[in-house]
Amino acid sequence: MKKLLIATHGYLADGFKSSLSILTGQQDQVQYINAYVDESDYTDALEAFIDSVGPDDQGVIFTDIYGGSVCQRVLLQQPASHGIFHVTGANLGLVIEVLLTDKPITREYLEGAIEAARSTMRIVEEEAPQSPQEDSADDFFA
Amino acid sequence: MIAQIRVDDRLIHGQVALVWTKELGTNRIIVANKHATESDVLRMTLQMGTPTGQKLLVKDVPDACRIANDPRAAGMKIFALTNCVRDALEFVKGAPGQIQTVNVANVGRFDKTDPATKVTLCSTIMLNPDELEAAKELCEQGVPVYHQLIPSDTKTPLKSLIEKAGK
Repeated sequence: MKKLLIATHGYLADGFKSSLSILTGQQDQVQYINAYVDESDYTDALEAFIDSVGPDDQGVIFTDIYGGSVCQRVLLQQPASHGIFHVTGANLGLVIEVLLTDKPITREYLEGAIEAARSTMRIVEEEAPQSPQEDSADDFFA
Repeated sequence: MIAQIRVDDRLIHGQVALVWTKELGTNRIIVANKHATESDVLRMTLQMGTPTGQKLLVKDVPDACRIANDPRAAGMKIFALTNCVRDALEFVKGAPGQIQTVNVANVGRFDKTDPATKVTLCSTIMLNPDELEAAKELCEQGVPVYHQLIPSDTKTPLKSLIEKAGK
């Protein structure tokens, strides 16, 4: 089965959980680590997640920022050697896509999903597109 | 074929764009809303809310019915949105046999009519008298009409919500 973990500095992981709850109702299918919110060591939780991912499972760990200590800590656990992908700089769109997809979680799939998510980080223009496509039935049915 | 008409006063938003299009397996969205056809800014927000790979059409209800009745629509799975029950009713009546389900999700809380006249069916459905009449009529059209915010929620028939409210 699909096993996902979100590990972040502070309560961002719980923030993802809150958003996933509102948008998908499937927040319980993801595990969360809010690092550094108390004195406890989150390495145990990380190891437990990695150990829980069996050979027939598809595991992905999302972390918040490339090069950050959470990202580093995950790297040190070498999840790839357990067949688990580690994606950093995760955003909500990416997590929802991976959570809801029926496709197998392959490197190729993840690269496509990351590219799609990356393309949504952008300045929002307030100018209408020059030739609005949305009112032509022919385009719609094409 | 219109897989679902969703009544949602936010039209295309996160739940709709990211979750329901996947759940329903649709790749085309019709927004049936007269105001949206007249507002560039609103159309822009709808375009923005449309996920990559999905096609969007913004029409008033009569034109939306024409699209649903177009022979080219028969082999397609289309997701439709209205922002009020009345529009959904007109859509169902104007496209007989083309609508598989109606999901009354979020409606009426922001329609600016007097809250004192409204009937609350659940936390996300508040109907003014005209909308309530439309809702009753909608339940009699022979198309399944239910309330389901997100796919993990159970489907509650709209009729039972109306009856539970004593209306």
